[in-house]
Amino acid sequence: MDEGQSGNSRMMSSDELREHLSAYLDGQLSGDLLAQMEQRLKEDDRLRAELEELREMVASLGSFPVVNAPPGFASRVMAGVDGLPLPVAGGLAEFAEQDDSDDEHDDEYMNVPWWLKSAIALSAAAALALAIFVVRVPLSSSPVDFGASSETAEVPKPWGLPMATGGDPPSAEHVLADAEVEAVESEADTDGVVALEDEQSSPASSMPPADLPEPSPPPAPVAKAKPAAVETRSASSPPAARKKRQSSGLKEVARDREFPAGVFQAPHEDVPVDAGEFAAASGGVAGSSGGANADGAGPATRQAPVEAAVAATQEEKAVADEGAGAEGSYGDGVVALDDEEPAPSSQSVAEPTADKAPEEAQAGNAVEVEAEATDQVDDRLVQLEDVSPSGASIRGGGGSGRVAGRGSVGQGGSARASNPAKSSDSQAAAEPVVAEGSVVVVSEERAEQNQNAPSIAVKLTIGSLYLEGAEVITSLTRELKGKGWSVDLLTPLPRSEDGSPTRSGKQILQLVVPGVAASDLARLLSSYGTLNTDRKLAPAPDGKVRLRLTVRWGD
Amino acid sequence: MADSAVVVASKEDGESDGELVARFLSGDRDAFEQIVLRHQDRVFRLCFRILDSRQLAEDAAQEVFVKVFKNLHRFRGDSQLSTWMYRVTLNHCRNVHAYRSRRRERAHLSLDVGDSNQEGTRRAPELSDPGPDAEEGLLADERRRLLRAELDMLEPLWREILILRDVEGLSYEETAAALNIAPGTVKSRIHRARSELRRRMLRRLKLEQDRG
Repeated sequence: MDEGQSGNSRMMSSDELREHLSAYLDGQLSGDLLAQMEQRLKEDDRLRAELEELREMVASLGSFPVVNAPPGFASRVMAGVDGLPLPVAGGLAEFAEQDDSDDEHDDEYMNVPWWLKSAIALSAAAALALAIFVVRVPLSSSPVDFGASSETAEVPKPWGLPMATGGDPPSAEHVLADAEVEAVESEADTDGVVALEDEQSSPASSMPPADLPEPSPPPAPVAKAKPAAVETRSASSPPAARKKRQSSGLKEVARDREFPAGVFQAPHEDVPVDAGEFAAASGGVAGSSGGANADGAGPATRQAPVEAAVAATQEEKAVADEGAGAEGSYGDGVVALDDEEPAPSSQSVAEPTADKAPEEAQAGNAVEVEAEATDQVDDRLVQLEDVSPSGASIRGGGGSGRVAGRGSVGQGGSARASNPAKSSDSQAAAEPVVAEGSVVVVSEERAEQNQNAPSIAVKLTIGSLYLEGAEVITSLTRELKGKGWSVDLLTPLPRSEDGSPTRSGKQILQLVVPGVAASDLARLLSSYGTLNTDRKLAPAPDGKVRLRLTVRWGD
Repeated sequence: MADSAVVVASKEDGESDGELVARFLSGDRDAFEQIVLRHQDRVFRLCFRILDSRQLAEDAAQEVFVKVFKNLHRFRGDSQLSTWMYRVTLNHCRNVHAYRSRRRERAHLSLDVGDSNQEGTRRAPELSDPGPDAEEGLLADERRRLLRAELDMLEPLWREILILRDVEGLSYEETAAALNIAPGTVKSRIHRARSELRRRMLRRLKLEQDRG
């Protein structure tokens, strides 16, 4: 503990020594540093005065009146625990760490044993792999043969990108350009947030009785899995469209309320979906794995189940999509589709629902997403189109990408992510639209046509916050939530073997605050540590500020 | 420091904390009562320091002990029981504090000086024993009041470490264990916390002088 034993004989300045005043005051200095300090104190009146001020202040702190528990306190405590069963040593120990036993601790629901996490992750990944279907959308304006059968199957990639195994060349609609894929791959394990969520994938039945202090525990731990999605590709795209695949980038659209969902969500969020429903949906999808569009019911959940987080492949990459100015876009390079309407059952999702499309449109509009009926609803394709002022349009295609959507998007109807004020319904209606249960993928066909056209990226600010320790994160998140702001934990709090937060590490949060609170947010974050952002916190067209924050601490 | 008796209670009745824990885990509720009696003051005091309200502190301390009751089987004995309870208490008080902040229910400063005559408290020696110069004593009280106010306004990061180290008198090691941080971090953080508090105090005193 003592300082000054390093044998460093370099003479320190008064300013440098000032940093050690507290340690000196507490008797923590020794050796050369101590000698230097004492010598300098004799010479430097200002340093000496400062030391005296500190000494006086510390003495005052130590002289605060002693306050003891009131009489009868122990009796009241014992009365309070009278009806509680005695804990059994080792009984629940594995479900939480000792020092985070706190009832209201946000991280409590993350304290799940590793084996359970693994099981959840595996089951979720398996279900998701069967549930996700990506449907192509023709890149040309020519009619699409939606009736074609699937011909290739996708091999899961760790980041959820499909990889064609058939003889066809990789489709740009389904596969990101190699460089982009690599970028995603390289980032997925770090700050990338490709993650899947299925709140129902942690069945309560598999959890032991939670006798933890928390009376109202937050949602069960969510399976965190790299989206090892197996995408079953339909061969519905015409050859003409395939020619464009090599050069066409993709934009994916995740269906979400606010932004791409993370692995963990704040407790106030989604209502868990019925596990049976999800299982049924997954089963239905599994049965149709050969033909993605035939009966690809997709996840029959709307709130959470197969929720895909959009990877912020690179923070800079995400920013590259900024300036899109396309209202209705969420996430970095992602348009998130809101889903307020309760999803019909998985069965109904599987049915052609042309007549339901208008309803979908109304539901989707809450987050600037429209659903429209089209003639191709049988194919359950969704086209997302952003009609930006410049005319740039991003259209749905089959696809891969860094995102697997969630919820039953479109459900047979078509969806359009558009600028509500400038969208062109007629134009959109003329576009082939693709809807798939859990995934909506948008290609950048129109972006190809106009390189200068803004994308549908959202104004997602990327930031980092450096803290001294992980213990501050809890208070930070609580304070953020206390202000009524949306806080999503995109990655879990890294913990050491004994369950305590690691000495160094990082956690990624995603924050959504009202635009007027941008300065408050910056101020609050700065009070906790060193905040860096790639740009000024500014609201998106919808008036909200979105910040993806990588919180780091330790070395 | 204010509480030099913090660490003396581990075997005050001849039974160590570890023995009491073992007895409790074997089904002896009386052992838990002994634990409560042994640690109630420091738990209550820490709650009071953070929450700055006697009533809130009592409620919080009771809740802390309920948690301890439920989770004592998780105590592995790697650290002192008192340190472990400090951590539980800190976590709980952070939650309560955040909850109160959320609802803007935080009461105005209930200053230690003003509360010191209430039931369950005892005056600090320098308060109960009038100094040779009454005016000096008043100034000291006033200074303490301001210090308490500024301490309460510090960021939790700084406030907690000052409460543990300077108010409660924990050692660097105990403070590190209670905050679950490295001892080296305590050293740097305590310096920054003190510097920040000193800066605030200087500003406050200057304001007071300007007014007066």
